[in-house]
Amino acid sequence: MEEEKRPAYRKPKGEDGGRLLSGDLEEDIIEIRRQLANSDDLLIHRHSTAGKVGLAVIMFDGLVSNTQVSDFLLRPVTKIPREMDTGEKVYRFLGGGGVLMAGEQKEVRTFGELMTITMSGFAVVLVEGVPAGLALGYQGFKTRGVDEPSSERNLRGSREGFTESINANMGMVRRRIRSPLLTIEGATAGKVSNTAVKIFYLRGMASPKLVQAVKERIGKVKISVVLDSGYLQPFLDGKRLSLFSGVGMTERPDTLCAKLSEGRVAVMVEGSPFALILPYLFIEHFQSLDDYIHRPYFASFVRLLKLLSFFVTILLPGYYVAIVSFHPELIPQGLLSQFVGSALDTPLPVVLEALVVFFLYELLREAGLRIPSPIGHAMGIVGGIVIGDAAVSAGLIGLPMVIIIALTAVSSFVVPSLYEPVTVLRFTFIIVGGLLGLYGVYLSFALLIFNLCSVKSMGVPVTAPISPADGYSFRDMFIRSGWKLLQKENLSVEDLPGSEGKEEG
Amino acid sequence: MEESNKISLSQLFLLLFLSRFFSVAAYSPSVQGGGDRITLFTTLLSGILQFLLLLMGLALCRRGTGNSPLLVPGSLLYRLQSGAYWFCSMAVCVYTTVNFISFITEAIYDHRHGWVVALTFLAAGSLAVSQGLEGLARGGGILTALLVFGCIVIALGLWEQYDWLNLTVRFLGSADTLRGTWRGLAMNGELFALLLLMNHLREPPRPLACAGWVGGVTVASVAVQLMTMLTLGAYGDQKPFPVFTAVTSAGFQVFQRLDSIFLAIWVVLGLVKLGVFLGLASSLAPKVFLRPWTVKWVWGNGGLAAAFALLLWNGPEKWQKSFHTILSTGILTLSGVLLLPLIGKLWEKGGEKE
Repeated sequence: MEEEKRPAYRKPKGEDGGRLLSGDLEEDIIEIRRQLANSDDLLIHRHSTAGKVGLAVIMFDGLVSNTQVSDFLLRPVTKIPREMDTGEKVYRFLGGGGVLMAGEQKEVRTFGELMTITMSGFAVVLVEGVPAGLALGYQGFKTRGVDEPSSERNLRGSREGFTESINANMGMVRRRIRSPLLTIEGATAGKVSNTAVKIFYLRGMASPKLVQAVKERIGKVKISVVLDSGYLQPFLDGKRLSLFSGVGMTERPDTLCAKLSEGRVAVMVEGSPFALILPYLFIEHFQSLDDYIHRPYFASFVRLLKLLSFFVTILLPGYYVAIVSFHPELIPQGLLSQFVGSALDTPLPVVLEALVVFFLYELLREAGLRIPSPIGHAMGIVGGIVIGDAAVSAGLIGLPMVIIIALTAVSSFVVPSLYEPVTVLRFTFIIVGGLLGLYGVYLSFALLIFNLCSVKSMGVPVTAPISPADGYSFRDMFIRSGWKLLQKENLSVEDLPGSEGKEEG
Repeated sequence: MEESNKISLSQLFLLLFLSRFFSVAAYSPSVQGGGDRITLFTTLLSGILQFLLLLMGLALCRRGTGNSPLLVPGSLLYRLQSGAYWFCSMAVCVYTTVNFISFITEAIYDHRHGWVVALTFLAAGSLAVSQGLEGLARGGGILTALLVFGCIVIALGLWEQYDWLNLTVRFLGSADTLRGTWRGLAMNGELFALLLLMNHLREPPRPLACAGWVGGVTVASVAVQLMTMLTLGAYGDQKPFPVFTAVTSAGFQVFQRLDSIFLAIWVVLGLVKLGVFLGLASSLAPKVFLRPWTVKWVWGNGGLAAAFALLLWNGPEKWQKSFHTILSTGILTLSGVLLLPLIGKLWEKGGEKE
């Protein structure tokens, strides 16, 4: 009977959680201060009840809501009846329910658990004579409000994006998938930071092997501090060296829910608004939620446009350099004088000109990201007018090169999730085109295809269902079919051709 | 090629189709010397002969639960078989590289830069092989789609150049017909490549599927021959690379020339063919020495192929002609498809009797 009133204790997973609480209040407080080296933000409120039982409230300044602690914890503590004259009675009275109001209530038994939970915004009550602590959730730290995601804008659809608070993010997902199948499992990452990690999946849709594999890979993370989901991404990716990742990212709860319904697993990290999605296919970089809101013909047009933009942005500069340097006979007559004339008029060889111009562009882009907004306008003037116009007027770079870079830059932002590999590939193709001509460009392109095709994301080829091909999956690949066709069968990543889960049956 | 999962039959056939199509696009009457004897009719006959040979090879390779021309690892004959197949694969690698350099330096670049082409080509081939058979096979699917697109564009670009008066269906004497038919089969290393790659398939190859593959290659060969014939007529037989010569006359009002598409097709097909046979060679070499496979075998075999290819290409012309003559006897194809599996089958039966 007495045991039932105490909050349920869950033994910590993995390590033993550290040294056990002794029950001697003075000793425990000394140990806490020693472990935290008397950190300035540690708050310890000591009280003595009417029954002469000592207790202490441990919390961190800035993490708890002072109002809630005052109203729902400290005030009730002062009203503990005199009859509660032993530590055990006081502990059971406080933990039994109805006395201390809190959204979350847990029990801690080790110093390790106490540290982790107080640093998550809990207040822990230690009672003299009881080798356990009562943890109450009074989080009051400031978080950013729910905003429109900056990296994934849509014309229509939700304007909500994830925030840095993992609890708020869990709520946004739960609101959209109101099914008991939605499962959220907890983990920690970072030997020092003990950062909270949540794993989302739909039971019955996500393969148990996939979920287990994700948990194992997160368990192998040995970094001391994990501050963002990006820290976990390399551990969740496959072993093969490739510019392309098999792990996707999203800042949108609606996108995440759509991916979960296809049997994928999502990972979120406290402090990061970006969720990781596995497995993630290459073709999904060209898809967005807007595709399912627009009419099929327009959605298909946009997807094909994005695909074309991807090839333009990686191949156009290298192709131009190769043609002008090695194969001027392939230039149409109308453009011949412009291209070759421009190459002859500028002091640098075409390949160096391209490298310098694109290097300058990347410099301006990176500076534009970091520059404080008051002087951001100056960047536009410097970049656009001084470097662009002045350089062309002075004959340092040719006009066709400026047009090429403008087209390439605009194309690269059509698919922002691929910006990293696109930037490296662009420079690679420029160098290869300048050294070997079209032969080098085509050889590198073929190698790129082979490398992309060799990448697997949790046992699923990232080029599926393009290759290996699956006719039915083409209905939602390069083009978006109507809902009458789409609703006939749900896509499941485990059923994609070439998937190890499908092969094992 | 060792570190890979199984691939599907269609993936393998697409890969081998691309590999074979390189030989079709690379056909050179002055080098291969069969200009007078290869006609549309002999191409069709050759297709039938290749299919029959493949069926015989498949029958010889059936062993218990698996299908492979190689014996069970460990015996001396297994090592000799692996060595023989390695030699065949390397010979195809070297021949492909020499063909590749010849075209690139004849049609596009300076002859002095052949060594650059050889080294970059073999380096790219080694990189492609190190991605694994799955990567190659999946990539083959995508490249096939691009190839079809490229061929359609070229075919449309040549529309105004087609002269149906050039269409001549020649019927040669029986000896020449046999020689022309044999030539098509003799240079088809993909037949023994299929047998060696069977172990990597999810399901064994069915005769109908094999017929589809051989038929597809035959149809492609006929289509390319027709295109060249309709565009160039008898003039094409005088050119070192008639297919490329035909393509140079293709064009649209805007793009005017479509050579870059042919160059793309050539480079991609060459890389696929090199990848298939370099991959086979690098997986067979460790079997000879009974060592585990690592990626170093790929680079080692790639370097060896580059060395031999440069030696042949830079050496006297008669070396290349002799090499081609030996290959065109069909000794590699017959050994790989019939002789070596037959030896293995007889050895196995002899072992069973004991």
